[in-house]
Amino acid sequence: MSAIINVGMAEIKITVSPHRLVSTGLGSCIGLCLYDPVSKVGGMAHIVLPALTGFAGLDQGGKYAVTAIPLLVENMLKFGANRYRITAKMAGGAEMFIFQGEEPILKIGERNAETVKEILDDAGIPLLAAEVGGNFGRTILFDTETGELLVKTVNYGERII
Amino acid sequence: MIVDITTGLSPEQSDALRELTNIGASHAATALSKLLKTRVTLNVPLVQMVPFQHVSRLIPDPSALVVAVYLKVVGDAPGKALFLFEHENALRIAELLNAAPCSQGLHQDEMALSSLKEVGNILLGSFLTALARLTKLYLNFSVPAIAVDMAGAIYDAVLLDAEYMDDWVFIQTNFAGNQVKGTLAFLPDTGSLNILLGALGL
Repeated sequence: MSAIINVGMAEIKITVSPHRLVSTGLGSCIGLCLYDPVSKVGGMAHIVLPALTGFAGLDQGGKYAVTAIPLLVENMLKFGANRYRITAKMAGGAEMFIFQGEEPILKIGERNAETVKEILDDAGIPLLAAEVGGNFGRTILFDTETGELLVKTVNYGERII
Repeated sequence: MIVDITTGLSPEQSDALRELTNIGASHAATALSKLLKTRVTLNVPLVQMVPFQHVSRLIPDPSALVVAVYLKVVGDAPGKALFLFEHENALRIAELLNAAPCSQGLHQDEMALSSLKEVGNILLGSFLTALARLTKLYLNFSVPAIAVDMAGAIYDAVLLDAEYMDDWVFIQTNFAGNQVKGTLAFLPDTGSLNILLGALGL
């Protein structure tokens, strides 16, 4: 029996096949999925911001890209994942609102996506696929059986990455 | 009704904010009545004030399709203001104003989007004008932006726009009237809440 586990804003959840992880309505946030295809351990973080701006409560380790990624890896190892087999996929990082005649100064979605990429790169975790940017929201469903990430949108259909 | 008080506000401060929101929202309802040439009723508003970590409680269904009009408030008490129409309601309002059915997806219907943007602008503008008048503060606001998408994605983007979110207060009131079904939300930037309360002598 496969369960669907909801990953809310700033949360991190880890599970193992056949269960699935879902994050509903990502805007500028990033849904990051890490996966070990052999042990079929998967983790999802609903990342809100690139880096610490104030101080974060420990219960919100998934809020910042810099803290979310080490936490994801650490907890996946406890589930039996192998550090050197872990790969990544991500979605989100949109700019939902476009103000007329105004170039967005702070492209938070874009910055989020870039920061996550950099941290993954530093950690030596290959980013297999990304579905980021644009000006629309995304709901993501990660299947720990196959490692597939289903990305659903309201106006632009859905795709599997 | 105050749903969640984990904000560190005193009961007097909460009451004052609720009252401020009520008055602002009823101004918005009056403005909309004029525009739609029909009486817009406003149920007793639900005002919620929640810090960031509980924001998800304000979104009963993050996958719900909404039409969101968003503007940035600048001046003495900067913040963000947002009006979320239920999708079906937004369609009805657009058709009423344009006297034409929306032929395609709302997100591609420039004329409907432009009308809804204006409705949102009037709602939020009259709310903010009332807020400024009551507090005697200077408040101005940006042109509105609009999005047709999932409620979760909308809130997410607005919340992130402020970037510092550890001490957020979220003031939200629901319009459950005959013509408009939606939610008005105001998010004071850090420090703005104290300025608003200070202007009210609290």
